[in-house]
Amino acid sequence: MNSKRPGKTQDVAGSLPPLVPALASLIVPGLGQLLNRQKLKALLWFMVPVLLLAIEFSSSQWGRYLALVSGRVPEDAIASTRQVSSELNFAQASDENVMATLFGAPAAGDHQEEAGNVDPFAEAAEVANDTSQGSGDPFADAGDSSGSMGESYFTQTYRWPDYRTEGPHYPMRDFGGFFTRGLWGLFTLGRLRIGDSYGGTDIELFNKISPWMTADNSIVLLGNGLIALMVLIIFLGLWALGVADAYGSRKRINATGRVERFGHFIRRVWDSLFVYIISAPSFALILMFTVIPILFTFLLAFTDYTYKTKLGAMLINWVGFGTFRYLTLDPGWLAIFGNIFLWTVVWAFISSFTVYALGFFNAMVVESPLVKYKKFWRTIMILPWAIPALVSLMVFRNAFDKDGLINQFLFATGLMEPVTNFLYRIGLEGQPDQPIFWFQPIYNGKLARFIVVLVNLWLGAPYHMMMITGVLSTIPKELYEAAAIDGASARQRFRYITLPMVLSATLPALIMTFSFNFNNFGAVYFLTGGGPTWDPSKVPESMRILGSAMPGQTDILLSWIYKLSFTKGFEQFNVAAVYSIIIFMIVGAFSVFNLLRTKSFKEEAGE
Amino acid sequence: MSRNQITIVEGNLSRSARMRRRLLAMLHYAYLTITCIIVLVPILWMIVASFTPGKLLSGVPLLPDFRHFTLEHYRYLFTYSSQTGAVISDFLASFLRSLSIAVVNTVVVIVLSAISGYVFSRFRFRGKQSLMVTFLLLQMFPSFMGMLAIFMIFRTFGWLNKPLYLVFIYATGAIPYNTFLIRGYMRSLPLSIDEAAMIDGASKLQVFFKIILPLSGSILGFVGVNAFMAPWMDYMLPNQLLNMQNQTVALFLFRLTDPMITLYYNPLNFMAGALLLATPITIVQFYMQKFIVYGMAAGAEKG
Repeated sequence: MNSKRPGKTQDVAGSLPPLVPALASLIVPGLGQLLNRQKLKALLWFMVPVLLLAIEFSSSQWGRYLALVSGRVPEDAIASTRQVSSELNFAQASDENVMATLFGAPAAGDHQEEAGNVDPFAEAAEVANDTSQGSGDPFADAGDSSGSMGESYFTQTYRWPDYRTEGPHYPMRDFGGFFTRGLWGLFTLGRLRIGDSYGGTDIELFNKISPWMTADNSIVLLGNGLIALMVLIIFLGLWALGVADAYGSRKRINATGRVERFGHFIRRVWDSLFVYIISAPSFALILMFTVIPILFTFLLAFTDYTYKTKLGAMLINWVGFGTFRYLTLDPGWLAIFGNIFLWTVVWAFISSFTVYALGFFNAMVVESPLVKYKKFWRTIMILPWAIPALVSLMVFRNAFDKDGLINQFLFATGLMEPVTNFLYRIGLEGQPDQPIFWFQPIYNGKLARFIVVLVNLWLGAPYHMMMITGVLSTIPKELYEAAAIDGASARQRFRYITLPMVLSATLPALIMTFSFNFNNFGAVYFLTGGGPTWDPSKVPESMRILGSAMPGQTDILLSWIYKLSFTKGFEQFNVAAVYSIIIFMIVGAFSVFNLLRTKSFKEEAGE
Repeated sequence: MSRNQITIVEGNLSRSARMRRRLLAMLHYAYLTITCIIVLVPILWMIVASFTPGKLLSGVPLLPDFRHFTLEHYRYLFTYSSQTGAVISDFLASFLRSLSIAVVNTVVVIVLSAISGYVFSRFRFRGKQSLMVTFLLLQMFPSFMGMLAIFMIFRTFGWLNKPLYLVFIYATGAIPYNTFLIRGYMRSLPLSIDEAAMIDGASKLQVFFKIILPLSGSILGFVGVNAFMAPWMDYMLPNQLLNMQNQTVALFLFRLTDPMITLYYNPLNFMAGALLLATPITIVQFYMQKFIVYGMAAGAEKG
């Protein structure tokens, strides 16, 4: 550690163009630091490739690959020859390794039997179907089911793939580690399905002993590949930081003739990276549970993953902008999307506006000097805000049921007939039913939409009332007094004092309400479940495949996306992903715009 | 409007004007009464329904009927268990699961957002502004749209059907906005306190724990209340990530109203359960109103 003794540092720090250690660091991280005579730092950066390779090799089977290509693998351990040779050996019983033959033979027999009796395609499809319906597992991963291993589980030994067979071979798939296999999966999304012959044998649903015999699960490959890519990017980032450090340090050494001590370096790093270090847990959480899912969804939009893809038996493919093109060129899909999008926007506007206006009005009434016992009124009126929305929505769902509170009330008071006739006459109801079906048949679409807005009003107005009450209390009284003395009427005082002050104070909140309502999944899903359905005769032919994932008349984009992703048996993951991207861009742009024009951000920019 | 102003106006009120005032006041009260009835009716209906025997909504009377008063739904909630040999009922078990999620979530969210709020309010570093915007932008992505990936991650780590791990997702969703709020609050604390403490030899972490944190009680209260409340009523994530044996209380309640799930379906049980669950939540919300109104104001002003 001669760098720690200042006397010596002067001598060793010769002059060197800074590009040299930078280049050295690019080739081997840490080498540049070594040239700069910073041994501990060099060690630190040298850990980057070491760790990278350690992860790769500890999770890989490259050793087996080397053995295979160098021909050191015994002939009967290779998949294609194993069955034949072991059967031969079993018959002759003359092999030296009798035990292995004895144990190996039933395994091979078992395997053959399985492949012979059961159509592997059908089986995989069935398994995939079962799991996805039973447990809500959209992956129906082959790995979860151990059925196909049967009796041979304890007796199987590893078998090498036969690379002498025809057709392409995938060493990265068969032997790769965390990074290589991950990237291979990300780029190819898998190549081998159940029943494909590969490496001299048939691919199985799951094989724990010889993992390469397991069929590719595209979704798992996509996810793992994404994680591997992220980790790789982090490592490469550190690598690049090492290059930058080598360059910078050498420059400083050349200028001052001194080598920075390791302790100094650590303290400097702690100081400059303090913010990143202490907020690392937050960053890590966001990376893992927000960034990766978003990227995953983005990637799904470029695949052909739908309910038709039974994982294991089928593979997902990259289709580029195929899904986008299909959705924008197919008139049926475009029409439905346009319909839903329009309703989403209308809904967001109407619901935000009504909620805000009623909240404003309620606040004005309660705060009016004519009203006494303000606290009492206020307490009751904010009750809907305090009750959990899910509970209220489900109570309303029941209240608007055929036998629910509303219909009962209308019958009991004799109002049923006039109300239903009235609703029919103004066109909200398609038929003057008694009782009224609030959310169900096709012809009541407008009525359902109207009710959703009303219920949302019940739920949302109190929040705005509270907010606006708060703002009202901050308006200086002198303004009103001066206005009254000048002879302004109550309306004018409202128009020129209250309204502008409240609006300017609550505009950001109003915009937030808009983007909240744009994605107000709960108000739609828990109240109407998206229903009433559309008239089937008007549904375009190309949409028929949607089955029960068809949107209803009250569905907004987000609740439709939910249906597209989670309707059992009708999932359209790629379409859902495309629409998710669209929503994300709209709402994101809106919010960023809102955020950037707020006071605190402007202040900071001017700092 | 204020009392002063009324006295000014009232000074020269004519008789008809006074009449008009009284009429106006009556209109105000009439409006308030109607609004309050609309607010209360669904709630009262829920209460009546929870004491009505049977399992049919159509059997719920419009007015409370004390001859057919029953506690069977409450008994069901506290005794019924779908698993043999279970110690507590399904409702209580799911309630406890939700409670544990809420408590852990509160702690995690407060700690992490306080730290990142501190970082964003007190330090200058490269990309701070864009990082904050990115944080908030990412939060706009509704978590269930990334559900497949979250499911993958949970499966890879073996977290499926383990309720407490949901906290990761709830906390991640809550951190950005809370960071933004706390940052706004901490910026209003004068920098000179930090500097004085630093001169006295306090480290950055000491400044944070001993000075900034105690001063941020009210905003942290708001963040904490929100973090405690959020998980209770989430339906989507637990629906995908937890099975029936590990359901949260929101899932349990939802299943009570789902005709497809014959094991649980009974809307009147739902009414009782919803009432049992909503009462404490509502009380907490009211009790914490001070914090919440404060936080909302902070969000409206700064956000």
